[in-house]
Amino acid sequence: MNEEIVVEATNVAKSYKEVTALKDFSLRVSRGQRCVLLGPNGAGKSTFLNLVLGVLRVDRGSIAIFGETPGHLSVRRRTGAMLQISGIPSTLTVREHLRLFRTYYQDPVPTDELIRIARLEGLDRRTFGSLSGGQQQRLNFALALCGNPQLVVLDEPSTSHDVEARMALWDEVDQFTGTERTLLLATHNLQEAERLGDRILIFHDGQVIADASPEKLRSLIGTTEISAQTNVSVEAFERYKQVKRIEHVDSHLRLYVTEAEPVVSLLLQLDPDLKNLAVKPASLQDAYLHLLSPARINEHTLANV
Amino acid sequence: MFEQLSHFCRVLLAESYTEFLKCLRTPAFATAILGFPVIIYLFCGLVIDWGETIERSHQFWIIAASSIGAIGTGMFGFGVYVANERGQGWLLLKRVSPMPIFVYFLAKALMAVAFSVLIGCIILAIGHAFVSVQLSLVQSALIVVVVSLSTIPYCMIGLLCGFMAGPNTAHAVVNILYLPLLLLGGIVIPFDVLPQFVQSITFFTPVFHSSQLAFKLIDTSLGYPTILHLLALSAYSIVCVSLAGFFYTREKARPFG
Repeated sequence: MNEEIVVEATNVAKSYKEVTALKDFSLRVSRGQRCVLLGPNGAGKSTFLNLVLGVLRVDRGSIAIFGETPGHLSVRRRTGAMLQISGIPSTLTVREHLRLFRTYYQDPVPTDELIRIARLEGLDRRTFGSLSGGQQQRLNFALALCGNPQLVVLDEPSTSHDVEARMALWDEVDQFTGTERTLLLATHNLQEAERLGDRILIFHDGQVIADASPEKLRSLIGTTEISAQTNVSVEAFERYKQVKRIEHVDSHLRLYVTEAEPVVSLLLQLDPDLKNLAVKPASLQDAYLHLLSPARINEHTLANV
Repeated sequence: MFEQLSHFCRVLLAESYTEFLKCLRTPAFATAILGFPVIIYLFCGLVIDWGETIERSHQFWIIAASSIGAIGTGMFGFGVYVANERGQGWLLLKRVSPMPIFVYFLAKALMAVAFSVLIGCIILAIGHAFVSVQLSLVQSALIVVVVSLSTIPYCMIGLLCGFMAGPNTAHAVVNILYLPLLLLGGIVIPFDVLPQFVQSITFFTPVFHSSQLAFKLIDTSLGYPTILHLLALSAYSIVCVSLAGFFYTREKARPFG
C-alpha cells in the first residue's frame, strides 16, 4: 500500500434501511491534500466521514485509511476528529479535558501548546459549561489535535463562531495542517471551503458530482460575473462563446463570462440606460449553486468536472 | 507489553478520576445520590424509634441506606450518564479516539463503586457518631466493601437502560425501575413485613440478593447460601451486559450525535 495515499474508497455503498446514503462512491486522497466536502443536508458527507472514522461500516466496496481498516487502533492514533456533538461534560475545565484526551495518545501535543493553537489562553481553568458556543467549539478543535494527527477530520467546525472567531479558526486549521497533514472538512460555509480547501468535493444524493480545485470550479461557470438592471433580450448573448451562463429574473440580468470586456461593451450598446452595472469575479457559491441547480443535475454529466 | 499495560493503567486512572470529579461537581447528581440515602438513614435509622428492636434497626438501616446509595449510584450515575453522553455525541468522540472503549465503561463502574464507598462511610460515620451502633470496625469495613461491590450489577442494569432507552428517556426508565426495586427488594420495607405474594416477587429482585449478602454480616439474613446470591447477581449482570451489548452494536450501525 502506498503510504502517500491517506484515504482510499473504492465503490463504496452505504444505506440506512431504505435510504441510500452513498452509491458506488470512489475517492482517493493523498497526503497533504485538503479536501472540503460540500453538499446539501443528506447528500452523504457525514456518512462518508463516519465511514472514514470507522464509526460506520460499508455495505459494499472497500475503504482504507493509511492502508488499514477504518477504526483500527493505528488509524485512530493518527486521526483527529472534530465532530458535530452537542456537548461534552460541562463540569470539567478546559485543561482537565485536554489532560484527559492527551492520555489517550502515545506522543501527544503539550497541553499549553494546544491551548495556544486553539486560542484558549486565559480560559483553561474555566469549565466547558461556562464557555460561549464559539469557545466550546475551539475546545473541541483542541481535542481533535491532542494526538498530533496526520489526518484531521472536521465536521462543520465553525458553527457557532462569530465572524472574527471563524476567521481565526481558519488560520489555526491552515497553520496546523500545513502541507504535510491531510484534511477532510465537511461544511456548508463556502467561504470556509474556499479558504481551507485545495480540493472541493460536491456531494449530491450519495454521489460526488464535482471534484476539483476551487479555481477550476469557479471557471466552470465563467471567471467573471456581470450584473445589471436591464430589459435587454438575453438572446443577444446566447451566441457568444464567452458567456457561460445567463440568469434573467424580472429586470435583473446576471451573466457569467470568461472575458468581461466585449460582453460589457455589447451590453452597453444594447441598453445605454441600464442601471447598477457591476463586474466581479465569480465566487465558489455561484459555481456551487450552478452545479446543484436542478437543470444541471439532470444533465448527468458532472461526475468528472 | 509492559508499555501497553502502563498506557492502559494511565488512561484508566485519568478516566476514573475525571468521572469522579465530573459527578462530584454535578450538584443534581451529588445531592440526589449522596443525599437521598443519608436522609433515609437519618429519618428511618435515627429519628424513628423502633422500640424493642432498636439495636437491630440501627444495623438494618445502615445496610438498607447504604444499599439504596449503591443502587442509585449504579443505575443513575452509570446508566443515565451513559445515555446522556451517548445523546450528546461524547461517546462517539471517545469511540473515534484511540482509547479502548471498555475503559470508558470500566471507569464509570469504578466511579460508581467509589461513590458507594463514600455513601457507606458517611452513613456509618453518622451511625457511630449519633447512636450506639453495635458494629465492630471489621464489620463496618466489610459492610462498606460488600455494599460497594454490589453496585456493579446495578451498573449493568443502568447500562442496559442507558443503551435501550433513547438519551432523553433513560432517566425516566431508570426512575420507573428504581422505586419498585427499592420497595420490592426488602430494604425500604423489611422482607418479613412484606405480604407473602410480594415476598415471592422479592426473591427474584437483585436488591434482595445484594442486601442479603450484606445482612449476612450482621447475622440477619434469611439464611440462603451465599453462592445463590452471587449466582443471581452474576446472572442479572450477564443478561444486562449482553442485552446492552446488543443495543450498543445496533447503535454503532447508526450513531447518535
